[in-house]
Amino acid sequence: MIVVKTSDNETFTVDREVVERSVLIKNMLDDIGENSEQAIPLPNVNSSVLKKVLEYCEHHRGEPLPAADADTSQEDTRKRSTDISEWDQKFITVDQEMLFEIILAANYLDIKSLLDVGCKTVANMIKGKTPEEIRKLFNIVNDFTPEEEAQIKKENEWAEDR
Amino acid sequence: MNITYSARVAGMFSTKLLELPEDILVYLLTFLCVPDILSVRQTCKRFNETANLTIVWINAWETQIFRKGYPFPLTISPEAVGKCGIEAHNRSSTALSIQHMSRVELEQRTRHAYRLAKKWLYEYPVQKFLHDSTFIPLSPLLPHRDIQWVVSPSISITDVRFVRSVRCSTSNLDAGTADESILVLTVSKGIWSVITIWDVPIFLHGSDKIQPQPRKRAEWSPKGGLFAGLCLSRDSGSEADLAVSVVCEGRHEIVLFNISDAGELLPICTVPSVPMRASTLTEEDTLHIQLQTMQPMKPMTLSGHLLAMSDDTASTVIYNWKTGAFAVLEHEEDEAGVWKHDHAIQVVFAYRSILVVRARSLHLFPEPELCLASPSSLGLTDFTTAPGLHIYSPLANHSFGWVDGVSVVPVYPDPSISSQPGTLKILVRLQSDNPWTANEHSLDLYELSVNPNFVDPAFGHGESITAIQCPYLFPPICTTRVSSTRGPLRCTDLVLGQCGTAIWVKPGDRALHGLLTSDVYVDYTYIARLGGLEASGGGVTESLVAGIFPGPLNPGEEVRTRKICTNISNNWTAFDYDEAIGRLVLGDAAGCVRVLEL
Repeated sequence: MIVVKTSDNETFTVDREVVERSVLIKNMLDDIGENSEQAIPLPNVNSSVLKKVLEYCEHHRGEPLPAADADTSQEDTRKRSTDISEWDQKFITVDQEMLFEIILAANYLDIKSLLDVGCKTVANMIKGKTPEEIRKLFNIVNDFTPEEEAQIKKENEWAEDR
Repeated sequence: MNITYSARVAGMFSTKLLELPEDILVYLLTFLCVPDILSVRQTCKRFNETANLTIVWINAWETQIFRKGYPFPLTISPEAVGKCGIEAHNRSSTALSIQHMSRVELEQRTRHAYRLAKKWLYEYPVQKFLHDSTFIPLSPLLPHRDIQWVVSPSISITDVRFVRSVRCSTSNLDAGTADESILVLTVSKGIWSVITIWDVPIFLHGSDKIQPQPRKRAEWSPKGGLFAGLCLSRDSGSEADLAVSVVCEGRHEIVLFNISDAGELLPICTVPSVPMRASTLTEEDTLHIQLQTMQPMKPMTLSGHLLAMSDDTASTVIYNWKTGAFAVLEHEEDEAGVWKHDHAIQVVFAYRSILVVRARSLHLFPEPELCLASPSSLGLTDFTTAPGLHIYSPLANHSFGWVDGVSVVPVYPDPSISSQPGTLKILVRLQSDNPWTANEHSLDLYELSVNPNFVDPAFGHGESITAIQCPYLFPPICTTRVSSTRGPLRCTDLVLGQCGTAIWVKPGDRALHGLLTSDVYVDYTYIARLGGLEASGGGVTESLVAGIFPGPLNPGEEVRTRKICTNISNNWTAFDYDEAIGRLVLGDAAGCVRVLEL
């Protein structure tokens, strides 16, 4: 069992197999050795996010980790943003704040599959929307001047007949 | 992904999309299709900056164009062609060529390629058409650019080709300068034959209202000379871009040219196109050398320093114009001493072999070793087969019967594995002017697969030549058939691209003669600016047709066909098609040239 400590000083005791889905933690454990009693500090993750992340790791325990340099055909299937498994879909149905926190944590902890699930979810939210709809959805402030906006609109028009 | 980001961001519990670090945003964009990237970019400055990163467009190109096998103008650098490696289509360095593109160019090309692929993939909503009479079908292949000009009034264009596209270095959006120039070569046959190079300016950025004015850049017309044939190199930055065979006062020559980016024709050298065949006869201990004039050769393929030229019967010469080394490929005549006319249509530098396609035969020759001509002590000219020089015989052959047009292209199963040899796809149009056959006519797609048991002699185990097998499996297998109509045509050419799209001219249907409007193709006719004239032509008008064979641009199993435009004058004489860019050029008997961009 491994002990990890979050930014808000909560500790979690987890199976090594579960926590090792994080490449960051796996590398740390490989460095400090088997029988360290010390809690692993995770200063960039708070307890509510880590709880969520560990839930994901628990569900996916035992699945093979992607190789460091994933082969190209695998990469190809990964890039299709629609295919998220049913469990993952349910898991990632959270509010936007939590979604971005999970993405950040997955990135920090180096859990590629979770990062992909998060990014795919955001991509699916963006898909097919107009710039104004995207702004509304993510609370983005339009910081272009009217001239800049006109110019950028012209440059990015998606004319179907061209 | 080793990302450093501030703990402060994670600590705050009001994280927003825009507060994600840049590398996560870049990664996020890899899950978006091209139009969505453009939408996101318009939301705010931060996303605009992110979408302006080169890496975003490299990712978009790789995942949405390259891996999907969609058409994209990748150039083959001359280094890739290699010195002796004859397979010019080895694409090992093509993936790298995008690294030399600026972000702006890569973005423009990726956006264009994405749009073009969507047009090819577009499936006509048949249901909607049947149930909604007010629904006006819009051709998905409506060309978005249509540039026409006259080369010389009423002098027939006999050939028209794309040379290449030249990117203008000063792509200043405000100055109204063109982003790109298309160099087009035309051949007109009036009293003299004339080759002309045209520069067609293209504006990629919203300046579509400026009607491009093609400019004449170079002209070449040898006095009293006639062109017997020409070929262009497809390599970028090659020294020799054009080979033309000229018949002048009974002399046959092949002239090599470099075509500069400005469109100038710069002569390089002249290659004699009538080789001499030398054979030795041993009589009473003395060595006699008999010289025999071979038939005049026409240039077929130009790649790097290699020029393939063929005669109208059975011989093909592979000639290195830099060194003078060459090899002869020849198949045997049906009956000894009787040579039948069988003109060459295409010579393909294939995997460890050379495929020679003729009007009624198909021969695969081994990759030859080029030898320098005979020793000068024999006092022979520099283009004579040396006595005892090995003449290569075909490894395999096939015949489709008499054909009007053939187009061969190598297709690679996986674009990311470039070293793997590709299947050769062969589109065949059988001779159509035989009045004794039925009105039904077809174009057939054949495949020549790589022989899995082939032992590459370069990596052989020191075995003798007998171990060499044929690198492709003969005979070619017919995989798809497209019906067409029989009829008179001036232009029987057809061009098949690597991504499975093909262009040909479909004759007007005389049998129907306008009585019926039914057609073998679903009518996606491009109704041009000539008013209703073109549309009213009905069945008697020739049309330019695109076929989309099953592959990256057609997920189905049946070939799809689309009409691109029609020609009421029925006088098209030649065309060329660049699948990578989606560009067509047509020439007609009235001296008119038309560039269409899909």
